[in-house]
Amino acid sequence: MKTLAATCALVLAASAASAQRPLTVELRADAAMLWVHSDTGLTPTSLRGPGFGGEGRIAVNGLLFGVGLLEGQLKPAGAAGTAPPLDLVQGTAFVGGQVLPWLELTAGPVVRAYVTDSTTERWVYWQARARFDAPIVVGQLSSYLEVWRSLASDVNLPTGAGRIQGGEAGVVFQPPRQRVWLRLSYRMDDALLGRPGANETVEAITLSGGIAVP
Amino acid sequence: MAPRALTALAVLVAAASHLPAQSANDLLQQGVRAYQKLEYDAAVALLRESLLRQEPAALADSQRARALSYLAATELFQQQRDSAAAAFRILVRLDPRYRPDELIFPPQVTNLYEEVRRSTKVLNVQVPPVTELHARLEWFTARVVTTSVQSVTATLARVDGTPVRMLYDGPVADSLSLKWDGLTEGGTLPEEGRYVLHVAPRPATQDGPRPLQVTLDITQVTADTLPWPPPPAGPGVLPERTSATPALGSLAAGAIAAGAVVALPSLFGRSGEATGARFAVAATVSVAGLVGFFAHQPRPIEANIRANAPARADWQRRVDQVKADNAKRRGSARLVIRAGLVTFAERTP
Repeated sequence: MKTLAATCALVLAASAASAQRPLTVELRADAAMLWVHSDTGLTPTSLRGPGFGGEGRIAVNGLLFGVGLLEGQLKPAGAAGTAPPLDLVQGTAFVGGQVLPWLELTAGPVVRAYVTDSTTERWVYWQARARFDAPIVVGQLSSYLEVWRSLASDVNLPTGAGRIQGGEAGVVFQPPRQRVWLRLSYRMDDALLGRPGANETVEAITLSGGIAVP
Repeated sequence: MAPRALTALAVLVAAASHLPAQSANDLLQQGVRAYQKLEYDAAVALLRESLLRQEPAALADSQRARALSYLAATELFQQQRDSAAAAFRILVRLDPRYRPDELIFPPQVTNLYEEVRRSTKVLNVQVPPVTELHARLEWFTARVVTTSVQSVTATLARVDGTPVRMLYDGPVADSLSLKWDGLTEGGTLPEEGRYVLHVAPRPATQDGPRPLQVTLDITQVTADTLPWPPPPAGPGVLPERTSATPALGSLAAGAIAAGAVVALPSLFGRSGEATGARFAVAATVSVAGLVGFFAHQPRPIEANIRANAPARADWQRRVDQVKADNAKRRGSARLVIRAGLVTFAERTP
């Protein structure tokens, strides 16, 4: 928690140094193809399926506040799949700031749940994120890379939770003089369990559409 | 006649006894004084002796001309017209441009000189010892002097006889400034080396003046060309093309993001295994980078080009000026011409 507090303080202090900027609201809708690989010590399983989600964020005076939600219905991948279908639900909240024109730092809690007919595996963790933006064609095309790592984590499994880290990279297209934009990205999120060799990985290829309201 | 002859002999003997100890100039001064005192025999003896003195005690050419003038006048007043004419012929050959002073000598003396001068065909060439000139722009000048109207041919040739340039072919009434612009017949610079300036009477006759020649050692000193003025620069000159940096930045942004898409499983996953579908995303991001690269290719900025036009035109004008100057410098290398002594050349038919 000390690390989390220090990270939040750093982010907020950096953001507070920014100049006065008008309030902006940004909404995003996601359509994703999800892959979940789980190796909890028994039989490794792989599931995949579509997912949908969205995110909303408010930026004011360089500070960011946002929430996000992702839901997916996953089924065993391949002919040998024996794992039961499950639903993936992940909720995110974050606060942070635009430290530099090309750097955004955020931190906040994440709740992720794998729900089957009989059980629910629930992860709760705090994570810090850093996002780097690089314009390709100014105002129209840009690429970005986002990385994150958990600061504290918990899971309702006997093995306990380890570190969670991941990254996302993609390209954003915004038509000239438009407030809407499209994004194509790939993300990888790897969560370790407390037992050596056990982990769960989530991959996603996401096509997003968003709008920014100044 | 006997007393007069005895007197002259005595004077000669008396004068001869002093001769060895006296310089040619002293003898000349004494001869002039004797002439002025109308002591012609003594004057003749003294003047002849002054002319016979050899180097290093010999008379300079100007003094020799003066001695010959007084000697000829003395001979004339002694009714020795032929001897006087002979002295004047020597004087004409020595310096064709010499004229006896009409304030000193009476008309019968100067008239005889002019008569001898007209009948004595003499050709002379005077060349400056060293001449430096820019070929095509300046001149090498030699002076051709004749005592009577005489057709001459002046040619410049290599020392081996190869013709280089015909400089003059025509009559010379008294004197002629022979000019050469430092170029060969073909309009090019002569190679460095030894040349011969040949001046010959035309037609060549056995009793006419002998042709003359002067060796000319020619060296070239090539002038350095001027550097071009620097192109317009500084805060007053606007960039005329967009920078290439954004294009490379766009390419890099796309490449890094595409690389990240491919490498994320290795960077953050434990096994490194991941869906191959991410390569499609990586390809899309790469294409975006290429689009940005080509969209940011440097392009001309017309407004800045128009704003810079006066400065660029001024620069172009200065460049053209330097080009013209350099062309002149390359085409008019400085020649250094060192002349030798004027000597007689072989008569040619």
